Amino acid sequence: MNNSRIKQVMSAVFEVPLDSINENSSTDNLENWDSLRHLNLILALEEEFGVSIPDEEVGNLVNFKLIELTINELVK
Amino acid sequence: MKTYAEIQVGQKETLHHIITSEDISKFVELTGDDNRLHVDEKFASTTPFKKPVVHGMLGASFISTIIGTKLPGDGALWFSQSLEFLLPVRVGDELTITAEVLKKHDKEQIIELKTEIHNQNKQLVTKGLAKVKVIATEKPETQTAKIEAPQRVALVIGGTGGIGMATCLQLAKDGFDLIVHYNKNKEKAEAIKTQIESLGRKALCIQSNITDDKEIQHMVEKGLRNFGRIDVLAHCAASVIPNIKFQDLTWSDYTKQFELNIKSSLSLIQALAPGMIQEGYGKIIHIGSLAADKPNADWSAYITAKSALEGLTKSLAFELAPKGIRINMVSPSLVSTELTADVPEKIKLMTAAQTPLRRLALAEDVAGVISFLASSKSDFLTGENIRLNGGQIMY
Repeated sequence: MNNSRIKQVMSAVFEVPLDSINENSSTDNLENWDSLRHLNLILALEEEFGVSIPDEEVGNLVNFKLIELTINELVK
Repeated sequence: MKTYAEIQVGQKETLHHIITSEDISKFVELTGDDNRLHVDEKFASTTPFKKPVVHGMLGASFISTIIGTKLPGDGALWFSQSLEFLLPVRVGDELTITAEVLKKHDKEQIIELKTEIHNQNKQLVTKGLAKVKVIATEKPETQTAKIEAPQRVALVIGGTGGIGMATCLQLAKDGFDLIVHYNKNKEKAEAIKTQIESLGRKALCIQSNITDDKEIQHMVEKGLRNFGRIDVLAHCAASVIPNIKFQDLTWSDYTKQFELNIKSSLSLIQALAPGMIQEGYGKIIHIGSLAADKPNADWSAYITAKSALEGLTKSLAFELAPKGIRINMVSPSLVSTELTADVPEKIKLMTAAQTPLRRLALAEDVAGVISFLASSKSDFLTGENIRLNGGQIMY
């Protein structure tokens, strides 16, 4: 469930088709994932899931799997 | 190449060669000596020899061959030669060139050789006396040839762990016979032995508590009894790294890590060194950790011990290098093994994401570096710490 919602958020923030987001998406392979959009992504994830992502985690969320793990921890 | 000590008075070497027209053409081309007695049949027929005579130095040049390739061989410095050409040599003659050691001059490392050339009719056609200095090479054969020999033996401590097992299999593929040390997991050690044997190498499993000096000595003696030699030690033993907060640390947390990393390494080197010194060759490989360069919280005892291991590696590498023993270290980042199975998935993902090569280290990556350190390819490397971390730390 969280998986598809994260993909939708990433698709919207990075302005790429939903089907281009997958488990291996990361700052290495999504060209639009720059530092500015990264902050937008954090805000969008916080809004979507109603959570507050700790400052020390913000820099770590550099790929889909890490985002999913962190969101799953925060929404428990 | 024979060393001076190996050469004995009376020792003899022989070479055969059939003289052809092509030999003469090449000799003329090289030296410019186109004396018609050697190359012109008509001219030769007008001389008492009636047929062309082979250049005397062509035959004599095979004395150079026998000195340079057989007695003493590579590195020989041929500095004096007397020659008498007793009979003519013709095309088609089958020459037997012999060199026999007449005398040795120990102080100067010079040998005197009786050099003779006979033809197919056992007639002596050329005779002389050669003087040759036997030159020792800078790289003693014992330091390279022995490690390439098929009977190389490696002792892998912690052979049943992730890195240890990958190391055993890699070294078996490299041609080593293996002593697989284990602490508790006999079944796995036996399974690894079977895999090593399927690669065509011999293997012996030995159980030992490596924090006990006597058990280490016993293990090394048993290994030597079975294989006769141990060329390489790869110390891959490890334990689960406990997470202990600063305020909870006790000295015993440190001594546990020091016993496993420092005491056992020292005891192993002390047990293996006599044999390696006798051979003039040995390789010791320790496993360090990226954490010693890039520390993380709660691992103080482990990090301190791994840092100390680098000190042990460098200090003993310096001391034992003149004896031919090389001691090096591989310091991997987080390796995906059974030992790290309990590390949270998030930490593994973060580590991979922060690694320029974007993955965790594999046991096979570590085994690959150990393979290099165990091989003769790294013979000029000692006291080095090879950082295997996908680019996380670059010096």
